Amino acid sequence: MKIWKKFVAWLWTFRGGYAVRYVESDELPSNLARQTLTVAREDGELWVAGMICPCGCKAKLELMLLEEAKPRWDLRVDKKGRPTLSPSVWRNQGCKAHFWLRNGKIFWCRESAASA
Amino acid sequence: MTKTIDMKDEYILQIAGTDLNYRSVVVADHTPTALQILKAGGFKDLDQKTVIQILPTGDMEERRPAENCDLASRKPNRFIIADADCLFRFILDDSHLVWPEDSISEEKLRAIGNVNDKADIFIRREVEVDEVLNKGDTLDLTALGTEVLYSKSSRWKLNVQGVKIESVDPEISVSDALRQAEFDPDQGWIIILKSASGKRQVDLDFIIDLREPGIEKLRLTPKEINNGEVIAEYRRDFKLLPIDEKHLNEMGADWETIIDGARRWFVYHAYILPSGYNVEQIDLAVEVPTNYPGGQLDMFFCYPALTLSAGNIIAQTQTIESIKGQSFQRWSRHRGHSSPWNPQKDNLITHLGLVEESLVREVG
Repeated sequence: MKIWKKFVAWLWTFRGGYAVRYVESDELPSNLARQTLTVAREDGELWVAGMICPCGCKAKLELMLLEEAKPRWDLRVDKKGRPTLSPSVWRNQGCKAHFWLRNGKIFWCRESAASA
Repeated sequence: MTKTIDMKDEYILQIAGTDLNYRSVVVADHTPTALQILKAGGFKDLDQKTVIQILPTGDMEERRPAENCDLASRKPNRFIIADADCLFRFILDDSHLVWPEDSISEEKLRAIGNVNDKADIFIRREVEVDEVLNKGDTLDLTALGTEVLYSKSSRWKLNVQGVKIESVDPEISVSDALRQAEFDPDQGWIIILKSASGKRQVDLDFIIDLREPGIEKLRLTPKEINNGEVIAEYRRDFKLLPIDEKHLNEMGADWETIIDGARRWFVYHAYILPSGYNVEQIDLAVEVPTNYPGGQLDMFFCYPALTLSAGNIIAQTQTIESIKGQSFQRWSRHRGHSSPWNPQKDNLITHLGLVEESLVREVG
């Protein structure tokens, strides 16, 4: 029984975690997979990361990774292949989602006191 | 730059052979005859020479030896002098040109026809498609027949996020390029210009020089997402140490400095906790004394208040502190006697190290 519980917990980490998929291009493909951070990479250079908005609104989020761009994000991928984006992602349109992607997990930012 | 000068009735002309290497000669008359020009140029065998005047209008005309050549007062006065059995006449754009040889290079044609390097020269054909003269080509004037030449600007191509546009002008503004590709420039874009020399972010007013080799594309990303760095609304009521701010920004932290009453607070938003607490993230506050870094950083404050998932009580966290009206839980964690605050070495970043250590210890 204990092993079974551990197995379920292990499965759960898969369900909740984001994985990274690389595409060889300077642009994102039109279809992005769920629970996946799709990274467009060209000649070893990271251009842009894309994901479906984790709030459920299904918006396609495009986050520039390119050094020359602003705003831009840093992408780190840990040994288990789980992505971390920094700083936080804050959509200023539509759902206005504001979250962190850390080690493959979404952390929602509560409305910041400053913007309230 | 050549212009006629009125000093002692001397006029400067530019003369060249079919190599078009002009040199200056001086004549004493503003309507010299072709013969006078030949003499001024030091030519012998005068009767074998043909003098062709390039007029300010761009037309070229042959001058007989005794014919007077009106000199323009401001423009350079150019003459081509050559041995010629016969002259070839043709039209380029609206100018009537004369050439003393039976062929002419594309380069010379461009020079005498005043065609700038943005344009290509085409040969108009009656039946076939008009033919472009490429760089290095030589045009056979004996075969030219009745066709005329015309110049047309090159079409400059640019890929705008997958849409290929053409521009007559080799320079195009980013906003025009977007409009031509039917992207709304005002929608808000992160625009990256990709070329052989690298990539750079450009704004709508940037002028792209399409002649630059390897200009490839304009790459657009909707500018609808901010990151923590550009959120200006975060308060910066007081400054931290440069090293603090550098590290915090490198960590990608969302942080504020707040003066609340007489007290100064550093607040780290969405601080991620190790697992084992009632919440995954908190707002973490540290009080910053006015004499920091001389004065030490001590303790830290959590909002919301933390409890352990395992149910144990966390020691020394009973005091509640109000920061901007929010109730923060004070964690009375202090430096040991063996490692006191060192103003030369310690700062907010080293303090955050202690904070992390304290938080991990409870769930470790």
